[in-house]
Amino acid sequence: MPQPKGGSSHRTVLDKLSRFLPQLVVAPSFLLILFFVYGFIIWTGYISFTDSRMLPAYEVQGFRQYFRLFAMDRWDVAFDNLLVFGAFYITLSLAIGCLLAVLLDQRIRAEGALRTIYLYPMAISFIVTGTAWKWMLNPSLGIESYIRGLGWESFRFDWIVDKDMAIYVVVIAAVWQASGFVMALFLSALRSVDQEIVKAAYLDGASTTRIYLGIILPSLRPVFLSAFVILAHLSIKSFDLVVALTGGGPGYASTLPANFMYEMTFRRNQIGLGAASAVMMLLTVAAIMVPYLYSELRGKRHA
Amino acid sequence: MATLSIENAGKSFGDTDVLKDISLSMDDGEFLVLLGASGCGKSTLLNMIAGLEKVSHGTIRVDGEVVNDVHPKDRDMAMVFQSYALYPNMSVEKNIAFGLEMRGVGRAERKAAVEEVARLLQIEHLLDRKPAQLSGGQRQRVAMGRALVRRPKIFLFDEPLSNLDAQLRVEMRTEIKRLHQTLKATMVYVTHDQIEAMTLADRIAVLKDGRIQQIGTPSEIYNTPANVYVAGFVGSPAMNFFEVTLERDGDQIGVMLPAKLKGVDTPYFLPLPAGGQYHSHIGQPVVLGLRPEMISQATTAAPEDPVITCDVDVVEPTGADTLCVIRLAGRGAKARVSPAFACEPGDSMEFALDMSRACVFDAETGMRLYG
Ligand SMILES: Nc1ncnc2c1ncn2[C@@H]1O[C@H](COP(=O)(O)OP(=O)(O)OP(=O)(O)O)[C@@H](O)[C@H]1O
Ligand SMILES: [Mg+2]
Repeated sequence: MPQPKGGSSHRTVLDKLSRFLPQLVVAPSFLLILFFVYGFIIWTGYISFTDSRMLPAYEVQGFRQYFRLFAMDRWDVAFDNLLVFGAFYITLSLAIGCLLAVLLDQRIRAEGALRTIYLYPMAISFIVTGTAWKWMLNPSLGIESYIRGLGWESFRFDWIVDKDMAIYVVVIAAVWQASGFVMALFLSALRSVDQEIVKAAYLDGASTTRIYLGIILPSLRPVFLSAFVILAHLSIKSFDLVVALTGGGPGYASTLPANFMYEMTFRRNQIGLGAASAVMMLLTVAAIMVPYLYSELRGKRHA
Repeated sequence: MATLSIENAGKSFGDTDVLKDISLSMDDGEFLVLLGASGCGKSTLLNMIAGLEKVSHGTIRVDGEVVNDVHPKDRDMAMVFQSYALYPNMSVEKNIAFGLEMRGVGRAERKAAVEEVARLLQIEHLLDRKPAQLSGGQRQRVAMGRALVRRPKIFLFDEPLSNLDAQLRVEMRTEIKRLHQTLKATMVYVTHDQIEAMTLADRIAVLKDGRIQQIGTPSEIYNTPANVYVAGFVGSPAMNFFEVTLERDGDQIGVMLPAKLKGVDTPYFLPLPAGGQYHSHIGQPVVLGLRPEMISQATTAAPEDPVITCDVDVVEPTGADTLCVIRLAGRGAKARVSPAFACEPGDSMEFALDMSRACVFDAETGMRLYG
C-alpha cells in the first residue's frame, strides 16, 4: 500500500505497536502458564525418575519409582477406586442430569425455581458437600440413627465406615453435586432444539419417549461429549471431596490417586513416588483429552 | 381423500384470543390457502387442524367426524414445516420412512414407498445423505417426501417455500401445483405471499387478527374483495383507495374525483355502472378502490369508460407494463399502462378508468357495498 510521505517513520512505529499489541498483552500470562503449568509438568516428570524423598534430588534413577508405585497395594486401591468412581460418577451424573433436563423441558410450572435448586449444589465447594454428607451418612448421627429413631431398629446404612462401600459414598455425594450442572447443560441444549422437529415427529406418530431417545438426544451428541469430558477430568482430579467426606478411610479404602499423590509427596517424604503417581494421573487425563481435542480440531477443520 | 370443516373454532393463549370464530369447510381434493400477514394466526390454525394445538372452542371435523380430541398421529394428516424440520441424525431415507416405521409398516414395503416418492421428487441420489449435507431446495423436497410417503388424507403446508430464493420458489410452486393435480388430495397451505396464494389456490381464506375476512376463489378475492383490508392485501401493486362522496348527476350515480392537471385539481364526475344500487348512500362518504390496471391509457380503452387527463409524476417501467404515478383526490395513485403509450414524467396524459370493475367500500366499516 502506498504510504503518504512525512511523519511516516512515526506512523510505522505506531503501526508496528498496534500489530504486536495483542501478542504483547498475552505474552505475560503465556509465559506464566508456560512456566508454572508446562514447566512444572516437565519438572514433575523429571523428578519421577529420581530418588527424591523429602527434598528433590536430581540424580536419574530410571523407572524405580514406577516399579515401587505399581507394587503398592495403596496405589492399586486408589487407581481401582478411580475406575469405580469415574465410571459411576460419569454415568450416573449424565443419566440423572439428562433425565432431570428432559423432565424440566416439559414446560412445567416453577421451572425456574427447580432449575436453580438443582443447579445450586455446583456452587458449593466440595469441602462443604463432603462435610454435609459426612454428617448425613454417619451411622450414629445421620440417616441410620434417624430411621432407627423412627422405630426400625434393624436398619443399616453404614457404607461410610464399610471398607468395600466407602467409595460409593463418595460417588453419591459427587453425583449429587454434579448432576444439576449436567442438567443445566442439557436443558439449554434441549431448548435450542427446533420445536417444529418435535411437532413433525408427533405427526409421524412417534411417542414422546421415542422422540427423545430417537431424535432429540442423538442430536445432542456434542453436549454429551462436552459433559463427559468435563466430568471425566473432574473425577480424575477429585481430591477435596474424599478429604472432607471419608478422609480416605476407612484405612485407605476410599483414597483416589490425587489423595495418594498428596499423601506421598507432602506427608510421607516420598516426592519421587508422588511425582510418579502424578505422571500416571496426567497420562490418564491425556488418554481422555487427546482424542477429544483431536476430534474437535478435526471437526473444525472439516466444517 | 377427505373433507375438512371447521365450525366456530377459536384459540386463546391465556387471555389473548389469537383466533376468533373461524368457520370454513373444504371439499374433497380442494386446495385451500390461508393467507394473511405475519402474526395473524395462520400457523396456529394449521396446528389446530393437525392436532398440535388444542382447540379452545368450536369443532374441527374430518369426513364429518369431530377430531378435536384425536391424537395428531391418528388424524392421518401430514405437514410440511417452514423450517422443514428434518430429523438431523437420520439419513434422507430414514427421514422419509420414519412415519411409516412408526406405523408398523414392514421394511421391504417402506423401502419401496420411499423409492417411489424419491423418484417422484427426483431425490433418489440423495437418499443416503444427512439433512446437513443438503441444499435448501433439496431439504424442501425431502420434507415434502416425508409428507407424501404416508399418503395422508390431508396435507398441511406451513409456508413451505419462504426459505427458498425467488427462482426456486417459483419452481417449487409449480411442482406443488402439479403434485396436487396428480394426487387430488385435500391440501391446506399457509402463506403470507399473495402471489403464491393466487397461483396455487382453489380457494383462499384471508385472515386478519385471527378472523377470516373472506373466503373465495382467487378471482373472487381479487375482483370482489369483501373489505378494504382484503382489497389492499391482495394484488401487487396494491389497489388505489380514494376517499370520495357518492353523488347524483342527472340519472347517474357516481363519485366526484379530483385529478391533478398542470398543478391544479380538476374534478371529474365518474358515473358508476349499475349505480342504482347505491341509491340509499347518496351524499355519504365512501372509499373508491381502483386497481392499477383499471387506470390505463385512454387510447385503447372501451368507449364507455370515463377519461381523465392528469400529470404524471413518476414513471416506473416493470418490463411488461409501465406504472405511472398520478395524483387523484390528493394522493398518489398508480396506473398501469402499456410501455408503448407511456409518457415522460412531468407530461400529462389521458387515462381511462374502468369503473365497471371499481370497488366501493363503506368509509366507516370498510366493508364493500353491494356487487
Ligand atoms: N404459545 C403461544 N403463546 C402465546 N401466544 C402465542 C403462542 N403462539 C402464538 N402466539 C401468538 O399468536 C399469534 C399468531 O401466531 P402464529 O404463529 O399463528 O402467526 P402466523 O400467522 O403463523 O405468523 P407468521 O406468518 O409470522 O408465521 C401471534 O400474535 C403470536 O404472538
Ligand atoms: Mg407461521
